[in-house]
Amino acid sequence: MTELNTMQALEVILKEKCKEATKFPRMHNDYFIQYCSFLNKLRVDIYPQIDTGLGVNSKNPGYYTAHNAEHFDEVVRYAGDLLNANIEDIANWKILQPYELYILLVAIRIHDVGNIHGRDDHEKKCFQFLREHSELLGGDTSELKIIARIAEAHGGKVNGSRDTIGTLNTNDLVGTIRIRSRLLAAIVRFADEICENSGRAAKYLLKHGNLPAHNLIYHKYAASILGSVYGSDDKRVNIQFVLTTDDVSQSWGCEDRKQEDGSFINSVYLIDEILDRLEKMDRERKYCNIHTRGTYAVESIRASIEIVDAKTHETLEKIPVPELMDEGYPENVHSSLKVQLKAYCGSDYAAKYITTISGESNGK
Amino acid sequence: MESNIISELKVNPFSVKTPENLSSEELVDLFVPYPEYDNLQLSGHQFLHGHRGSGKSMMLKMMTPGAQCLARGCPLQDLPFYGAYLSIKATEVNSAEYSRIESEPSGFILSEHVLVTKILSSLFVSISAHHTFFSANSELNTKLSNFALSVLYKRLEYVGWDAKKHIAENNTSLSAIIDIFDSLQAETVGYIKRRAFSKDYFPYSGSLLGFQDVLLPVIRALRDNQILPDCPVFFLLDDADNLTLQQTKVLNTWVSYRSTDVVSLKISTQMGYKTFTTSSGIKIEAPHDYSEINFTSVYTGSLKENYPKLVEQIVKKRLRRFGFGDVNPTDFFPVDIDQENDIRAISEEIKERWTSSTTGGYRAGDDAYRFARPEYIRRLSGTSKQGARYKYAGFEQLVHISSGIIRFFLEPAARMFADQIKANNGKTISFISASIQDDEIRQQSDELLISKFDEIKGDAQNDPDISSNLGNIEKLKNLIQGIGSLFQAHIMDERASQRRVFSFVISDHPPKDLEEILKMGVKFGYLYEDATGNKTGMGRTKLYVLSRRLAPAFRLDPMGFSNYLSLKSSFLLEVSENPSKFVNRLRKYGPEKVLIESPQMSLLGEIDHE
Repeated sequence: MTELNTMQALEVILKEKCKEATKFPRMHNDYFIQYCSFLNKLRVDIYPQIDTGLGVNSKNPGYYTAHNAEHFDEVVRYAGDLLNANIEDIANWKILQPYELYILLVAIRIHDVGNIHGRDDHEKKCFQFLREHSELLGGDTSELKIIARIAEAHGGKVNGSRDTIGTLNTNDLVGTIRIRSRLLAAIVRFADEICENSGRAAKYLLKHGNLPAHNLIYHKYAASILGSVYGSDDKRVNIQFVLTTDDVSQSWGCEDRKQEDGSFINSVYLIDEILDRLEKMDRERKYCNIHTRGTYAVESIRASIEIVDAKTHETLEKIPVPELMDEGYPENVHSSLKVQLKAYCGSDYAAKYITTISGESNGK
Repeated sequence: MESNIISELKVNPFSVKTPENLSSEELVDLFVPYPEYDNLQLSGHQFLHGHRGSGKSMMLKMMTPGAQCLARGCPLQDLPFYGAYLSIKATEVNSAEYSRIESEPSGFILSEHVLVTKILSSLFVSISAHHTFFSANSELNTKLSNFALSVLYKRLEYVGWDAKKHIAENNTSLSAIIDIFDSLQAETVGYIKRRAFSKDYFPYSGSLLGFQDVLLPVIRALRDNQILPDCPVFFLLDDADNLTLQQTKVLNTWVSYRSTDVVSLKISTQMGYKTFTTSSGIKIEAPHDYSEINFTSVYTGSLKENYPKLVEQIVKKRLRRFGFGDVNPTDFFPVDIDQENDIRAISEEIKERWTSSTTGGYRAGDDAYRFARPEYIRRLSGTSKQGARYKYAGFEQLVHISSGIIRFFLEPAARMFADQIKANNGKTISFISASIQDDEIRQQSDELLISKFDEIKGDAQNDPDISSNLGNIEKLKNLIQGIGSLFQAHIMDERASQRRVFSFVISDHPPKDLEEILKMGVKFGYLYEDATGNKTGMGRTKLYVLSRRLAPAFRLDPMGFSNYLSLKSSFLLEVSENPSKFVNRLRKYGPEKVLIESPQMSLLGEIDHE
């Protein structure tokens, strides 16, 4: 029997569900075997090369946070968390139809592979990639196109709009099987969004100061995440950041970023970055909820940011980040996190810890 | 080709050529704008519903860049929109093979690919046709190259087309781009054909173009690179009824997108658009997703008031173009003088009777004249048996008979013109005689009642995708015969309280099978739909009006009609299934009593469509 190394919950479920042949467009095809063969190919030939491809083929070369096999596994895991995947009771797990689960998993497995050719437009290269490997996936390019569209909606813009999921059909018909394309795309997108952890940071190189200056903040951000979990009971993403005094006392290099006043900056404080990213995560939560509500909804994001002493690791301070959720009358009542937590942002807050550090300039 | 058309128009001023084949100059010269034309030129998805020959194609073709530049007297760059025309009927996308593959996995994706390829191909052909406009700009080649390399080829690569060779050779000419779309189409057609010969499923492995991932970005880039003027592109999709069901759903999905700043879809239908649901099964609705223009008949749209004027303008234009100078259409298509005199005499009789009647009340002279015409028809065809027949002649009568569809005026007019030349032994003509007009109109009526039904049956037998079925065609034929006979009986019955009846409403809730038959009647132009006030005074109800092209077949008065019958579904179904039983009863009881004997409710309602 076909098995996978490091099977995630959704993959265990797929294996079982694939026994229900009538629930797939081509009944004589074993979709689990097909999925395994394809994943094997990805793990052997593609995933190991993505980070290198990303580094050298992007318009802005550098050292990006990891897009390795582990990242794809983790997105599958987060998708399983969102869908309350329970391998103890597979028979009663009916949140997705078997064929939808297959589509979802293939979409997750390829959503970031376009990075192998560089970061730019990477999300638009899913179909091209699937078509190159169509013999491993049944050979029907029309089916691959549907999967690609779902995967491609995980980021970027379609015709100038960030509403990439909205350009998909609510559902698509593959033979006689109907799949909820927008739901699946929203799952891929949000699972990818919350899939951030310290494992993606190049911690060794960070420590030795050997990363390109314009990539530093991304690695610092990833490295500061102690954990990120979704609880299907409280429908909440809990994300925990631990920052050392070294981390907060200085700004970290980034690519040129245009400010509202038209000026450019090339470094940013980590807390500012975290707050921006949390707001972005909340936007993604609201956006994806539009398409997943009815199946599930992520009701809030609860973040904790802890400042610890760089040497003793003793907790010095906890930043009171408000829980990000939908509440009150829907008008623009909340100011941005950076305004609400102004006291923790920018150089003023960094100055509070500057005397405690002895680090060097980090790409400023 | 073009010279043939010009010569044909030179031989016969009413010659009807499909607008697809008219040159921009001819289009502008022959075009008379419908009031809806202004609306059509605004951005936004629109459906144009109209029967075949109602002028939809002409209107769409008039929106193509060549005609627009001439009509507006402006260069291409200043156009407010760029109209790319595609006749669905003239493409192979509606062939039966396409319908067959739709039940297979991912048929929708393939249908979208087929449509996008076809539409983009038509756009590039259109750009190429106006190349002289573009080539005024010496940088065109650079712009094309930039467009192809930075957007088109990249986008096509993303969807599976191998651009390497083109990129390596820097092959970015317009003809190379058109070739790409031709080869993409050939690839799909090849697959579709192979599938038609194979029982076993084998998947499609070619490129797959989509609306969002190729069509929209390509159009944006064409504008950004100034290959197209910086204005919205209107895709003018003619005869969209001919799309397969799945292609229709794909098109509806595009309509549901709010992309009208870049692309607007102007979709014409011949009353047989298959569905208004999208690929996801969601219904698109006006006015949220699109707006609608109906110019199906004199009963709906702007034509209600303006149609006679429109025909007059068209006829004047065509006669002037032919060299007749400023001829009044009423002089060119004269009435039968003797007939009109007789009708006037009857009119005087009626007026006299009303004046002497104590209960008649005041009625205008015009009313008497209108009442006189059916009476004249009765006297000719009824008991008097004079051997003469009513003449369907005179411009006004011809306009009414054409039922709001310009082609139904022009086609018989062209034949009348040819017959008149023959009658004059080739000498110049200055008018069409009443008898030639009458002959032609009667022939047209017979064709509609007999040959057209055979034609519809033939189409239904050959087209697996057609929504109608053979049984319903027969039922429709019976229904039209029955209804026509009923209306005829009213005009022939001197004692009938209402003589001029041309339409009916259904007094109860029609079952699905009857609705199907009526829908088919509307689609094929035997009936027109309108709305009239409900008998209860609450709301509106659907009115079915018999095409006045059938007036000669049932000896009806095409000019005056102001009444409708209220009929039960069971009665209509009976007529459609067993017409002889009804006709026997009609003979036995007469027009008013037959409805009571049927048994069914008989009501007469007053409407004023004149």
